[in-house]
Amino acid sequence: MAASGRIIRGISSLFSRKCCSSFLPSKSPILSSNAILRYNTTESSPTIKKVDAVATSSLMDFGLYVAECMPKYVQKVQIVTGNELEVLVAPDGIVPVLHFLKDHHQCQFASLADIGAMDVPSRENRFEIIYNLLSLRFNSRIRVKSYTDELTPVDSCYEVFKAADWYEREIWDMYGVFFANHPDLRRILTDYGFEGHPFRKDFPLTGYVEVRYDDEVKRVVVEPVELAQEFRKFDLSSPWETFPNLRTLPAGTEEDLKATQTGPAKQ
Amino acid sequence: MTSLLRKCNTLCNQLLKGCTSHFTVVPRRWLNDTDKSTMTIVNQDTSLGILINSYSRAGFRLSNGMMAIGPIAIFPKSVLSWDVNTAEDINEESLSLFYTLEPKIDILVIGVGNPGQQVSSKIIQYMKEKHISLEISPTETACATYNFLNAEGRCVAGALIPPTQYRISEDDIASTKRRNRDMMKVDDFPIV
Repeated sequence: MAASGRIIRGISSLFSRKCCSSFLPSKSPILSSNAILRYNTTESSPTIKKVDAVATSSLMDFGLYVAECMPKYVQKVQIVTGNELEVLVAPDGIVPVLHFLKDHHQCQFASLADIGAMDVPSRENRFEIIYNLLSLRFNSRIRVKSYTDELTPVDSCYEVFKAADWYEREIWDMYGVFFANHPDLRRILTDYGFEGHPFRKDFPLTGYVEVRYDDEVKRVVVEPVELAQEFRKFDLSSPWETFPNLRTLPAGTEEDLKATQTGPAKQ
Repeated sequence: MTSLLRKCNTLCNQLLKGCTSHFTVVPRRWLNDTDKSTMTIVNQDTSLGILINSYSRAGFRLSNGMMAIGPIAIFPKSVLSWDVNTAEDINEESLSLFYTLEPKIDILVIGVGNPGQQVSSKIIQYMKEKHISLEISPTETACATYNFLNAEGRCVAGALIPPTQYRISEDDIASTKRRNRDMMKVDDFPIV
């Protein structure tokens, strides 16, 4: 009797393996390692990245170390999205801080991955310059951020990282941020006679000029842009809630790690 | 007589056979033109117009063999000397030639000499009103820009001022010496 019951339980478990198993309320430890019964594991949300508290705290320690070594220029150190370290510096200190991060033995961020910029027109210093560095020795990344406005030039870090050459040319071309002491600062992506800096927020999506081939003069001419149809902006929100599970997610907060010594800050 | 002719004929045939046998061998992989690697030097293509071969403190050497001394105004088919001292001295009058031309040029490449020189913003505004795009850069890069804009076939003119500071490579020194037939002399301060 008991044996037949066990056999029936075994057969029913075979069926559940083929059918939708998410209806089964009980968690069976034997089947949890089975790939098909992923829904039945003890993890609550496997797609959300787990925050490693030890790694985050050691990252924060390193950030504080950088701030202690360069107190004149480093204004803020923060950890965003769980595990990314950012160092906010004054614009005068970009080259010293990058020199330090590249050459110091405990840092060795010898690889410049990217230089980007961000335009926030509401701020006084509307452009934010973002340097992404990678340390091959310690397998870690760091971000150095600084700020400037439209007219103030920023020191080029070409002497620190040769790779900065084209990245800074791109920022000059797209945003209009001038880099002093750059070996060859000229346009890189826009056309030769192009006026304007396209990535600024006040530059329109369609631009100011359009080019077309004019058969009368037999060459390409540049004319002010003419849209045959007016610009349409689609509002794609639906009246029904698309993510009911995320109804109660809190907004990103900034936590002072040094004061509380608890979990990491979310941005 | 005929035997002599016949002997000559056979001799000639043998000679010809000897000659032609060298020319009939063609590597199989080169039978198709697309298999070969080709290289064309843009400056040697005379159909593209006058291009700039090299620059120096004194002036420019052009692809048609001419050498122009001092600042130049260069067009696809002609080159003129330009009456300008430095980039700051560029005024409406010095640019008057460029906007009175027909057909109207698309881009004017201005080579300001050394990298730090500025062109007055009033002039830039003035040329914008005349609908001529400007491309202002140091002469080193302006020469190359003018060259490949011309090679692309766009309507472009160049206004170039010779630079006083520029990078010199070993190759430049060697080609100058070769031009001056001077390769054997060891010079402490080579003039390039």
